[in-house]
Amino acid sequence: MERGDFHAEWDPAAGSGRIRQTANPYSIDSVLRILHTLLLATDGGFLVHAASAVRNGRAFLFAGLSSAGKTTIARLAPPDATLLTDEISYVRKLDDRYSAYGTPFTGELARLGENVRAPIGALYLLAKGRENKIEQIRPADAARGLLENILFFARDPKLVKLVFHAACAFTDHVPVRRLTFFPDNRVWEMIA
Amino acid sequence: MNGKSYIARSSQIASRLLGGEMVIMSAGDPRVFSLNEVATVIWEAADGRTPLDEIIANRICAEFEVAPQVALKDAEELVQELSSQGILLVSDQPIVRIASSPRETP
Repeated sequence: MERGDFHAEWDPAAGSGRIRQTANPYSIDSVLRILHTLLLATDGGFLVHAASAVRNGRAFLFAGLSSAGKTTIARLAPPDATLLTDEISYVRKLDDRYSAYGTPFTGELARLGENVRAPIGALYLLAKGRENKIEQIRPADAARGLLENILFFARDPKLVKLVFHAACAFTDHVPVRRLTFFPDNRVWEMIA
Repeated sequence: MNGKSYIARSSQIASRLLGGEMVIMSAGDPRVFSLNEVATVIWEAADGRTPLDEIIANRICAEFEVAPQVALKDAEELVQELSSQGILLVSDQPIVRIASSPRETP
């Protein structure tokens, strides 16, 4: 992997690699995002622009691009919720079950996610509104909404197809809904 | 293009049928498209060997209540749109190379 500010190598067989970078905190962050996108794709997982938190033993993801409300909903989370991230969620597939993991990728909240994992209960596509509501959406819209938020770092057709099918399989197994919310903590009454 | 055009799915796409709608992503340029029920039938029939007017007559008019001329005009617009996005190939001659499966491309 090569960019103006870093050169990185990864040996899949050894499970290790090296990074040479300029002195800034962002290069390692970028390398980790790229590397984990590639690693997760081979096993049906992905990184997605989504806040996530664990509540009552299940992880809930709140997906949306910039300004969608990821940090807002993370900030509104009740004390019994464990924050995984307010920016980039880590989704891994193991034995046909999907789990979310805490990540070091932070958004405006600038708070590291807890180093825990939990099975995913639902993924919500965020929309802001005057009232809180959760709506069912068509499977095609669920896949499209998820794909629009998944991180892509390569134009390699094989990788794109892997991620595409990973997203479609995810929507087959995990409820994907549209969550319209008004930015106060009542929205979390609907998440459990 | 006209009714005698042949259409084939590009090999540079990934697609999957979800809830009766075809979801398609262009591999070289990750944009996502979804097709409604009628467009999905045309997509699935785009084998490169069957002329568009035959697809309309045998699949669309047979399965949906629509006049052949109207269906063909709508189909030509759809084909032009998908072709301009690079996810459908159009030719005056049969197209040999096709995607492996209309419902889920590898």
